[in-house]
Amino acid sequence: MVAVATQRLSALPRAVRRPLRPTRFILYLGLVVISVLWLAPIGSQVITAFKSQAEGFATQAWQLPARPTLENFDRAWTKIQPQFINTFIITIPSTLLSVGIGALAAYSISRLRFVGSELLYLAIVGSFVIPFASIVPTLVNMLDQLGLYDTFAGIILIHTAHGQMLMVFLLARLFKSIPDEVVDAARVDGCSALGMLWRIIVPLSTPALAAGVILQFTWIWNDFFKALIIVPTTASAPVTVALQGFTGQYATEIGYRSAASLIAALPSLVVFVLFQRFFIRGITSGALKG
Amino acid sequence: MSATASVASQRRRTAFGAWSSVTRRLPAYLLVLPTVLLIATFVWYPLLRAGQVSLYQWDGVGALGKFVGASNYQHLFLEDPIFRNALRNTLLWAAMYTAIPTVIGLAVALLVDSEVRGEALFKGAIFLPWAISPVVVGFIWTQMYNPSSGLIDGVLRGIGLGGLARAWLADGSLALPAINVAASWVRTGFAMIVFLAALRGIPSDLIEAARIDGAGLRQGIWYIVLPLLRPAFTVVIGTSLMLSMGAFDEVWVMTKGGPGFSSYLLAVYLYISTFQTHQAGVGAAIGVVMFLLAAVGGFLYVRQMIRGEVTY
Repeated sequence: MVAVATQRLSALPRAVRRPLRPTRFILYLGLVVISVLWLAPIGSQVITAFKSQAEGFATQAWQLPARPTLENFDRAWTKIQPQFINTFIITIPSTLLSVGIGALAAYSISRLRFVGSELLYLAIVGSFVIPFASIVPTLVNMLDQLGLYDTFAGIILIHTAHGQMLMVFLLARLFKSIPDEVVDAARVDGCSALGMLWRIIVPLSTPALAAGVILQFTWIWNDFFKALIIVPTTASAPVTVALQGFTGQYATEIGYRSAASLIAALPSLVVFVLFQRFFIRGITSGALKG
Repeated sequence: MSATASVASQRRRTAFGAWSSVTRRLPAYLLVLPTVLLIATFVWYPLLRAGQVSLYQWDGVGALGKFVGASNYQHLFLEDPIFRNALRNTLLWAAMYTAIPTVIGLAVALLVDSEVRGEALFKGAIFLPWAISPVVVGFIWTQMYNPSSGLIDGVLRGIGLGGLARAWLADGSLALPAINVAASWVRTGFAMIVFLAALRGIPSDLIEAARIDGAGLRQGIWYIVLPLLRPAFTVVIGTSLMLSMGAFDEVWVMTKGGPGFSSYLLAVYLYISTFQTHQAGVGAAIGVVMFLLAAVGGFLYVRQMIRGEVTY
């Protein structure tokens, strides 16, 4: 690893690099082995989902199904469809609200500046260290008194609130990096504060806003803990909470379970595959949570 | 010039009074208000309230019960073996959740950073689990550890190591580390991305200079690359420690804390205390302890965020 890694680092001329062939081979071998190890659990899940109940137990986990079946997907879709739709109802407004409201605050803190704006920024970003579990014992009671327990509005508000820390951090950083001259020119031209945000800052930060939307979408789509606490009943629960109910009930129906979990994972996987570079940009521009 | 000018401007500001400064700044305050209200209502207030109710007997639903001072905490730390076990487990979880992704993530980042072909493919493979919900991750790995139809025991038997095959999640001493492997599997992609971005940010001429000065390969890594990766280490380790303190999802999906109490984490015990045994005062006390522990790792990370040393 040491020798291999230094190849880019040492920036050797091409002719000198040639004799290192065996090292290159080991390098690729290492990468292939790790990639296969990392993909194997997902692959095994996919294979299992296409096996009938009998075949699932009669064959090894790596063997492809002799008679692939869609029966598991069919059954699973019928079962989790309502909660799948709930997830969309929760995820889309939560994502747009948390990015939109976060962008307003980030703009105010990074470009307008006011008494205490630095301190407020610290307080908002610093709140990121508060584990969600810490507030669980008091949150349910509080939402209940507000009439928000087990409602879409309740979970949407919680996602929006808990998205603020990272969205303000991500966006304030990027808004700050827009050159002062650009903004000052607009100010001289008589742009109002909101006008500047809409006409100057937003168009210049589209990739950052897209990164924010995509990160929030994935986190909220995949969320389990918040939904388990706030919207636990079948009428309002998202698909992650519905799936969790499978653990006891369908413990031995491995094909069915696999199919249901793949359906639940599909939207965020599709978003991930399509927009991988936005994820990487989002993570590296602030090195966000895992 | 500056001293007199600033004194003059300060006088002018006081002369105009605070009101004009407030109205001039009104849009700024209005724009930040929704965020402040949301965080204050749904993050700060419930945390402060948790601090308060941790001093009471409370069932989590009705009015606060008897004021008991620090006795919820006393009970947890001095008399409650389940809590001490959950605390120990959480520290073990944090150690694994930090070490595994850091070591493997850094190794993969160094490999990928050596001008390989198909870089996006390798990166995508390691990073992919990051986009999967923890519930699905729990399902995938429950199946991996299944003693009769799972991949792990199947492979062990296939290569003649059938003696090592076992019901991983049913074994009290193995369940927690086994679940952690699932969580670390997800986390490694994040670490890789952070390290890779940091590696790419190291200017080539710096390494070139070291090479000309006669630094060997190993020295180059040890004295140049690793020190320059320090901010990346802080980010990966700080967030891992912080997130570990509130970890819940994978354990809840895979074992619900079992067998027995063997895979309890702080958050699992908090959940059970609050909603199953209806001792929300105790649950809140666990939450406060968890917050203080998370703040240690979080402090390192947030300091780094705000200093902005993490510039890739």
